[in-house]
Amino acid sequence: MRENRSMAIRYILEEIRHPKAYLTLIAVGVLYIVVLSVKNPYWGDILTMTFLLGALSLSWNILGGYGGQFTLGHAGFFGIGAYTSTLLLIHYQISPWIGMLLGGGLAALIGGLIFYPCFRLKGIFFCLATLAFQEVVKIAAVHFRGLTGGAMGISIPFKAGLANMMFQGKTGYMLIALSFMIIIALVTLVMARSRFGYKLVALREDEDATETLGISTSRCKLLAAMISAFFAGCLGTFYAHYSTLVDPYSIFDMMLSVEFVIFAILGGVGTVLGPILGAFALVPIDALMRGYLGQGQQGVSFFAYGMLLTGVVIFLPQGILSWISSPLNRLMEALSGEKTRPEPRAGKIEPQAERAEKPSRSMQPTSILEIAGLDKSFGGLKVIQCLDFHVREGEIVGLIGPNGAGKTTCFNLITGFEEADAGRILFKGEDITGLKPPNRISKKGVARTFQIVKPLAGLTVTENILAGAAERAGSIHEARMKSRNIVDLLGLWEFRDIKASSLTLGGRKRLELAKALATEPTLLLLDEVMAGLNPTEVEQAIQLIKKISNRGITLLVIEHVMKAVMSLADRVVVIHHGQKICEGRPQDVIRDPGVIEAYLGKGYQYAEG
Amino acid sequence: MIGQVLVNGILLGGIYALVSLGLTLIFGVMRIINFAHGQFLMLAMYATYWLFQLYGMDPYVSILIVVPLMLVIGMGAYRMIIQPIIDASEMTHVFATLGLNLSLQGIALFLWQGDFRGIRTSYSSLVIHLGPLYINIPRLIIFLCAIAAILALFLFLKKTYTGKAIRASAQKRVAAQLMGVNLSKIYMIAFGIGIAIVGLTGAVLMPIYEVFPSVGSLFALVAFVVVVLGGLGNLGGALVGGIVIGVVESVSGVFIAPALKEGVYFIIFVIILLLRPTGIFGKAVIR
Amino acid sequence: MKRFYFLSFALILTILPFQAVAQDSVKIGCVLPYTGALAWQGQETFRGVQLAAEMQNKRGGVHGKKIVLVKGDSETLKTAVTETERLINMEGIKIFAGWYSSSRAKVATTVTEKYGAIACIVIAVADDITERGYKYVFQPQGRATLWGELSAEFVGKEAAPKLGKKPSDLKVAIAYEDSDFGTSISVAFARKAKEYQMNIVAQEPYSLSALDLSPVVLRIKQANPDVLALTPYVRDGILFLQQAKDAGLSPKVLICPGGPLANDVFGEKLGDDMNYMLVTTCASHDVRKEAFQPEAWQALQEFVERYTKEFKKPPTNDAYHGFQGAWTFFHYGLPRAKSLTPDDIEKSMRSLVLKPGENITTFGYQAAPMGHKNAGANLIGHPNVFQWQKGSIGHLVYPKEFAKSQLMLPMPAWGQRAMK
Repeated sequence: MRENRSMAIRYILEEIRHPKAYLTLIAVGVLYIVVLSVKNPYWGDILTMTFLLGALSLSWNILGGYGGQFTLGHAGFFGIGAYTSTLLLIHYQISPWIGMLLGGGLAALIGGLIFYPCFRLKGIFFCLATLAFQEVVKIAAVHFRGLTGGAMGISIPFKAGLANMMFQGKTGYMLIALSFMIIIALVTLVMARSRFGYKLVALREDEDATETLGISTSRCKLLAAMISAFFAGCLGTFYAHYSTLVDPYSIFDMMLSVEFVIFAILGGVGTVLGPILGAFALVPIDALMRGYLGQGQQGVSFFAYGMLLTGVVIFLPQGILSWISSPLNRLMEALSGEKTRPEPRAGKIEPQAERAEKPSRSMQPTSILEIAGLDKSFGGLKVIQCLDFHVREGEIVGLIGPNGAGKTTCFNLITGFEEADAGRILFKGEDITGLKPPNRISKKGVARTFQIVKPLAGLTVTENILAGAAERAGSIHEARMKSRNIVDLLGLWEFRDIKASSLTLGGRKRLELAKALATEPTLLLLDEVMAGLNPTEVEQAIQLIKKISNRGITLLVIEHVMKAVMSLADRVVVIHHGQKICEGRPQDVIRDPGVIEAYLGKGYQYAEG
Repeated sequence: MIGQVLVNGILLGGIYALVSLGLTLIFGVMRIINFAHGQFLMLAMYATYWLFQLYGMDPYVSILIVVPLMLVIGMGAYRMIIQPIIDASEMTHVFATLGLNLSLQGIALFLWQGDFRGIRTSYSSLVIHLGPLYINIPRLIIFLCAIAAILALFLFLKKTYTGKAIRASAQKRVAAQLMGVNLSKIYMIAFGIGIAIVGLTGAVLMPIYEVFPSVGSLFALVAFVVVVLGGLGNLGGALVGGIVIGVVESVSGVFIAPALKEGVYFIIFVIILLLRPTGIFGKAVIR
Repeated sequence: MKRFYFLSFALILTILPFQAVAQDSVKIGCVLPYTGALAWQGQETFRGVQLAAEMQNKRGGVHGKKIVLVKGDSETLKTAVTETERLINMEGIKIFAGWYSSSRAKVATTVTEKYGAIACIVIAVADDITERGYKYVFQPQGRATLWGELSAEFVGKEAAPKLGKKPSDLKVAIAYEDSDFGTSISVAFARKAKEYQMNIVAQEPYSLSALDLSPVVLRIKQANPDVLALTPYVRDGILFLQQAKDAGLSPKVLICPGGPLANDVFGEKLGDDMNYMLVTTCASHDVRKEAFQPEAWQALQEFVERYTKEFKKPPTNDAYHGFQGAWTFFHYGLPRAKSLTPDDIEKSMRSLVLKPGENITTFGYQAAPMGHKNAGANLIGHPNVFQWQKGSIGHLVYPKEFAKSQLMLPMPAWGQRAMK
């Protein structure tokens, strides 16, 4: 425990010496100095709005950028916060600072309540639902005049003073807005480096794959939504006191929601700097344009925003940040004299005790997995019929059969991606039939790979594996350590910082395996890992699987490559038309006439060779 | 009175259906949600307005010009904006078209300023009476146009070569390509047709509505609701969805409160999204 | 493609006009919605303000200096504040006229008051603008309360007898768009109507962006009112009237207590069907020459002539408002002040008293003193009632001393309203 802490401290100290950290601190310092020296209220207003909108965009970014759930209703929370604290102030004289927290809390609560069921919706549908949410809130705010003052809104009488969050000049406002922005940026940074952060970005890349890592995607999304809404609500209070008027048409403006998104997209979604860059780039220009173009500015602002958005989305989807990240990195390298980020000195790699051979089967091995009477139909087609088999602890069981036999469906049933029509699935004696969502099954110790690999494409290899380790690890450092072990085990060290999308097929398959292993499973389901590999890679894969088995992990392997089946499997189960037609040692099974008939001799030649 | 409420709702639904038709067609064929849909409508309305203003052309006559014009504009927009990103993620489509939305509004604001423009025709308020009920003729015409457009589309998709190619591309992209279909050309045509329908809509809306740069957003918002309700890509669903929303709006406006009627259908929208996101008719592709 | 985007963006940035300001001039900030949803109204109002400035400059300006109007765009509430701040801090302006809509005026005057700048609200009717005890804010035209109340008063005193009924016999329906504008006026109307013991049979707010107003029409028709008080904006007003026509909703009296129905567009769209409808605004349109002092009458005529010559049409409602508010300020308020500092202007505006007919409005001017609930508002600023007759809104029917035209009621059914 103490070792962990001192490790953590050493880690932080390392980080600070890195140019990324101290440059950021300097930049923040400069911003504060600028704020304190700006006397012209016109610039003060522009800066305040820049910080405010940047902060709002950052808060959107938590759910939208990191979580990948693009919402177009973020202004709804902004407004809820504003109205809440204002009403509390006017009716109950509650200090805006407290009202702000209450407003943020209410926004978070509403955000959770409303968005949680909406998370079922994918992509565009979710987006539209959030749009509708904001519209409904706006209509409600206009209609319930008794509560909200209706379309006329509520005015807050001007009274200068920190307690009232109002100031004579702009400096006070600028300081608060800037501080908000820094705070939310910090929170985002900490979140991004935490286990939660890795889980969040994992689910953004591929929800199904993330579920198999034992991560509850809905809970992660919920938490992200609530954090995001909380901050937006707090900022609403600030805005209410800045503008002294809260009215529905201004605050629940759809264009405002779109602006938050534009800043993030322009700057770079899913990054800490992105929304800030976007806001800094656009807000001052827009204000200046309005001021100096005057009459000629009609429409120019809309047009410019529109062109920028389309242009960035088409040509620069990672935003400005991706543009400047390489020169920035070079600057960092020049400053620090190091090639890349220092490797995480996460402690010594504990060599896993490699067992020379598999545990003897003289003891009665327990049944890890039991399938009994499983049925599954799709439409009128019966894909699985009365399927029975079992897998004992420590075994490697091969699941073979012609194409369309129902093997992958079987995996989907076991891991909770499909629901069986009848039958039972027992894992370690526990009935897991129909358990949903898939992460609940994964959490119990069942991991799988997918036939068509599902790497978390936008993340690096290390981040992929981290996502896998995140759920079980007690801390981020533990997670990093475990990931490091897995990286070594699977020979991925040289690829550790490469984006998963850049890997070859062989690399991706290894990554798929690595992710699954990171969850420390008891039972590992492999779905045609050998497909598409050349003979050398097949041999490597076989050795790898043997190593995995030696660690005590039970394996259920779907395979067509007979060489692998023959050399790996202790036992083979043959499925045809969704039913088990044969079971036994590999060499016995391949000679079974029924099996040969099912295959029409295809695998036979391989087995002989 | 309930009879009139229903009649009003159904006619309103016809408007919504016609507005949504292009949107659902485009989605059904190439899975793009066009966030600039409303702005194309706005352009069509302005075109109709200017034809009337400068040449005294009756809006129903100007259909002959506006529809081909929007067809070309639609195809052009596809080439320039959509095609480069056709294989990108859904969200990329959303934001690229959103950017187009803002740009078009900006251009309109710049050229024609923010005030409303309307045309006056002798028949804007023409009404026929069926017993105690009254039916506004231009609105009836829009309703009939919606039905006609859907029928025309059905025939086009079923009978013509291009139509069949479109259906094939909608169902199985790779297979269609293997069959010799030029995918990008087909998509371009389909997109163009979707926008051409918007052109028709704009022309027939002008006798009863004013145009201004942000008019598109008002219609587009409802269009999204209708399209989801009827099932993305489902042409008949657009009609049914439109009528349902129109009737819901009309009924809740009269029997609950006019100020809340939009709120009612938004709430229904969210409920549908949650319970049955594939719409009333379930998953439908252009068959 | 990339180049196209960059070029167009660069092009936009190069359009930067310069604003040269001559010596010996006084800059007055004119913040109005030049862009956005209220652009048309903002522009028209500006035309009125500009003509007032030109006319005053012809008469020697103020304190020997020419008035130079500096524009700021109050497209949204946020920009109203930003632009006002910009004019105060970047252009050093301490005298303001403008903003147009009530909410914009409200937030912007919070700013002007903070800096001690003088704010003359040429047109914006909400009551609460002047309910904050601000010293430097003046509202020379009427307030929403007055607009709404006077309209109800008119219905009770003038319209009811024409229908051969007592006010308490009248069935009144009120419909309005639900933003601050429609709501504040209609609430005031309802209040006064109740005082006259009229029966309010329907009160229907609706969203101004609605695509269909037939539910409102049907509900009102159901209530079968004698009088309909309708406060829309322009677009929804047109939609409402058309759908009312479809439904055959034709009350005997239709009054718009808020002004938009005075827009020419209505005449263009609905032609003769607009006849008999009543609109309340402050404009000095169609007024009797005899009711005015010669100097005021001359100024009014000059305004109408100049506007008609430059814009090829008679002045619009909003232009009248802009001119009236600005003229009171530029011609009476500013010259009388000892100097052009906000404090001296404040004293001038506070002490200025104009009897009806002395100013170019049908009401005079008398600022509510500090301590009054609506300090800075015009105590005697009441609007007028106009009626659409023979296809034009320019027919003043109330107050009677200023009116040239006769009130014609009841309103016939749709299609039967042609007047010879």
